[in-house]
Amino acid sequence: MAGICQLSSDPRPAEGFADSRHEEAEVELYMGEESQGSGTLFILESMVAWWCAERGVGFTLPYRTIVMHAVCRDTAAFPRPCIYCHLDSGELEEGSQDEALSEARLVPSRADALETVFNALSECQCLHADSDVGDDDMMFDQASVAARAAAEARLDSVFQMPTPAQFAAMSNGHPAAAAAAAAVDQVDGQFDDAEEES
Amino acid sequence: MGTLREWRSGGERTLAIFIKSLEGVVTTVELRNEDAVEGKLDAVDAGMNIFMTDVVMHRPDGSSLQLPHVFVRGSQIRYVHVPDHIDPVRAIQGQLNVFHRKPPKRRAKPKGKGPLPSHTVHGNPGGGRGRGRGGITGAVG
Repeated sequence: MAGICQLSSDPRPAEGFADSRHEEAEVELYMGEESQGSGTLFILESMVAWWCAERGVGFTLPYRTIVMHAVCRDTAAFPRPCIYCHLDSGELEEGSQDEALSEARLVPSRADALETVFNALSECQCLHADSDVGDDDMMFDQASVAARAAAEARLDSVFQMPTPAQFAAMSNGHPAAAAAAAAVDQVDGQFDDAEEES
Repeated sequence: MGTLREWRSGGERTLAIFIKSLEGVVTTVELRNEDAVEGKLDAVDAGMNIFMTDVVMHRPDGSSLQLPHVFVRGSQIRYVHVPDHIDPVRAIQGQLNVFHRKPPKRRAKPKGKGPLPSHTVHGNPGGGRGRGRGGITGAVG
């Protein structure tokens, strides 16, 4: 899967982006400390795109490369309100050099656009779960859910709580232990929700 | 963040459910790149993506950045600091209860045939952590 790509032509299709969540014009993009110019930011469901017609330069950023994004109004760090982004353009290894992880800032000329851009980025990020997180536990399609349910049912059948009678038998006739065994059933429902609202 | 369906069809069997039970808690999240993000855990989804507010981000070089709203991809999280007063077992159980909460039954008129069914011990021993937050969105403003 592609990482961050630099563009040399306008990425917009003639009919416009089909999966656009938000478009914001006049957004200055900083890659690290360097301004790339002022262009249009496209928050698409598939990726983030930015295009500066004036300079003929742009970028596309898959969501998995934006490992963190934040509203930043800390003028000590950067003079203008912006969306601060951590980028991870490559495989992140333990103790890797800084070039694998860099910073970008999206600086809209419209200061009240910050929240809208932040929300649009967040919503689209949630559409892009990492495939390297691992497991089939993260698959929510019907087949995987059914497979997990079946596996759980098998586990349940293997682990059987002893019945109170069996507990009593294990207690060698001690009354206290037998009473504790009888109490097991009551403890069972301890974490259930109330069936009736009081 | 995230749908109840995503939680109940798998997310609740991952550690993300524990992090979700910490919604509302002020804590520090360490990222894989060693930045530490300190603030309030506002929302967590089944992929362990988190939304935090009133954040101070501490960089490994010692600098820090104030960020009112932060979103972190779940896969980038290395550690979540858990405050000492949190009991993980209660927190997880409480969150499971939230996901599996049955809608309240209509109170049936007793027909005089016997005692009303006694209910089991109720209430959330976890102190309300995570109650009713299943549907929260991470939107700002």
